[in-house]
Amino acid sequence: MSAHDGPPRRASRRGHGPIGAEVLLWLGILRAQHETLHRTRSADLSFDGAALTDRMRGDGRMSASSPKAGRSPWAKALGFSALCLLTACSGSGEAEVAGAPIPDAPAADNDPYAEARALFEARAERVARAEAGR
Amino acid sequence: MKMLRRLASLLLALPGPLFAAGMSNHALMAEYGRQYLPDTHPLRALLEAHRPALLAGAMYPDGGYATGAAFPGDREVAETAHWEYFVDPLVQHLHDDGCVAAEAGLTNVPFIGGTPAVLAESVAGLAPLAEIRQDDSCGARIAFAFGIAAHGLGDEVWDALFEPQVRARGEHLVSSPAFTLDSFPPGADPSVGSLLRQAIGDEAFETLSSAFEPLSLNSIEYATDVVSIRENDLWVDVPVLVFPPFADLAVAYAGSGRDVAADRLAIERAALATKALVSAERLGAALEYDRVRAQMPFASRNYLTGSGGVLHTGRMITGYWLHLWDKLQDGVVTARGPLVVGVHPDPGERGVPIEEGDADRWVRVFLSSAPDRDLLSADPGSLVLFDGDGTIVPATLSGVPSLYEGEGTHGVGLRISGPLQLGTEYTAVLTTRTRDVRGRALLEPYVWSFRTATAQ
Repeated sequence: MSAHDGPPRRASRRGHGPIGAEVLLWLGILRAQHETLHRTRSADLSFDGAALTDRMRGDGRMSASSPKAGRSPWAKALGFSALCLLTACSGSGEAEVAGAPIPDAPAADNDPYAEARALFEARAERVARAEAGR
Repeated sequence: MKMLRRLASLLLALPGPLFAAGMSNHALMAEYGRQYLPDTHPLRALLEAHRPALLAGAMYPDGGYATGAAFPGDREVAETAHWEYFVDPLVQHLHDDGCVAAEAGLTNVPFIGGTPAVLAESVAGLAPLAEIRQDDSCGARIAFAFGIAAHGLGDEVWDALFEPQVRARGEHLVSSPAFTLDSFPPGADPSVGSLLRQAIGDEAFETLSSAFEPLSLNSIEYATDVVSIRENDLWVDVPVLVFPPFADLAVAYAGSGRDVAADRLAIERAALATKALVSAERLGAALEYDRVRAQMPFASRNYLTGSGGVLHTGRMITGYWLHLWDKLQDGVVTARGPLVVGVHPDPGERGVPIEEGDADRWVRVFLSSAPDRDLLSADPGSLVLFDGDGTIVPATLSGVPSLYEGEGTHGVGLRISGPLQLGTEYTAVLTTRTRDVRGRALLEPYVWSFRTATAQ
């Protein structure tokens, strides 16, 4: 049997050792793809970008978020809407913005609604004050 | 052809829980969760440095549902990884292992590195062939764990707020056999479907129709993934070379208190399945985008920006992570109390529908730590809804439709007993009577308002 008798495909692989060139190629592709995952996609994910904001407004399902300087990280992270401020919603830093402390809630056991009622009334008072000052 | 039939039978064998948010959208939610973190928070730098591990973690919990078709025990591996009773032990384990902020190098990503064990494993395996930026540093482990956490909360929010709206519009059935029969031949009256309905009766037709619903190509998670991959350019976001931190996950499974056969093979199998499935979804995105957009217009328009969509959920994930970060630093038991991470309807929202059964009318709050359900169901003062006159709207806090209320879940909802009024301002109040499963009270009460639609 001469050196040329073997199947051509097998002969062509002998130079690459136990790992075929295809495997090396695929690993190279995987390696390159994996490397792309380490890129930060902040440019692609500009959540407060004009286009996305317009889209959110257009949907009418979410108000445009505009985190304001000086607000707590929680408020920034959760992106409270300007509309929320107008309606004097509170919680997670909103009470500071509205300028009225959240009252301590005694929450007497015989009235499970006492704390909720106190919070509701405090909010109603803030809204009335804000409307009077407008 | 035989291969195609096998693939089809495998897909049909996938169990129900997979039909939640798709894995590609779970990864995108985690991306937005990272993006919404405050610029200076150390977690943000960590997750940016270990982005592949974050994505892999965000996809991981669903993998076992797929392999469960062949290995039934894998379904429990998947199910368990979705809930806080798994996430908390995982975070506690990382805390005990010294993975806290003080540890140097949380953002260090070596080309190849880690402890001698993982280094030896890598060198013996793939390292000679391709450099891989894989390591078992605390940063990578934390990123994977936080990805898992993002997935669990993502399903809770998506399934409670987004999917019911798609289902209410019937878009998930548009390519089902019954729908196809009803519109075949095109323009014909009667159609094949209506003739069949006359022949066998409405009840039998509906039974037959629902039995064939899984054959619809419009499963919500797959369809929205297809649109999302294309519109958000997620083609290469498949973390093929990230492998699950087996030792950490094994501790978490043991700490979950569930009887789960989570051996190394099951965990690796589940992770491999996620990579295979999200890769296959890329093919779907290339071929199916236009069909899905045409057949599912509401889902396609709202999966990103709508209530319970990717952005909404991403914000909530941020709040959840901030609490988990504190649990990581201080230990799960001693960490601070929960805060509200998101609500529905949005604060200040106008035109909220009030029709009975409309998913949009439901009041929902999501917390950063799982609430004490026994306390909630016994205490109507935890979440209260007032109308414009300050009258309390009758409601209960358990048995809420389309809201996961099992152990380790984060949603609190109102099951409103009576009708709501048109064009009325309602105010919802979550009080500090609410406690999480650790017994810690809500750190701050939360008050917000919304206005109902002026016409139905």
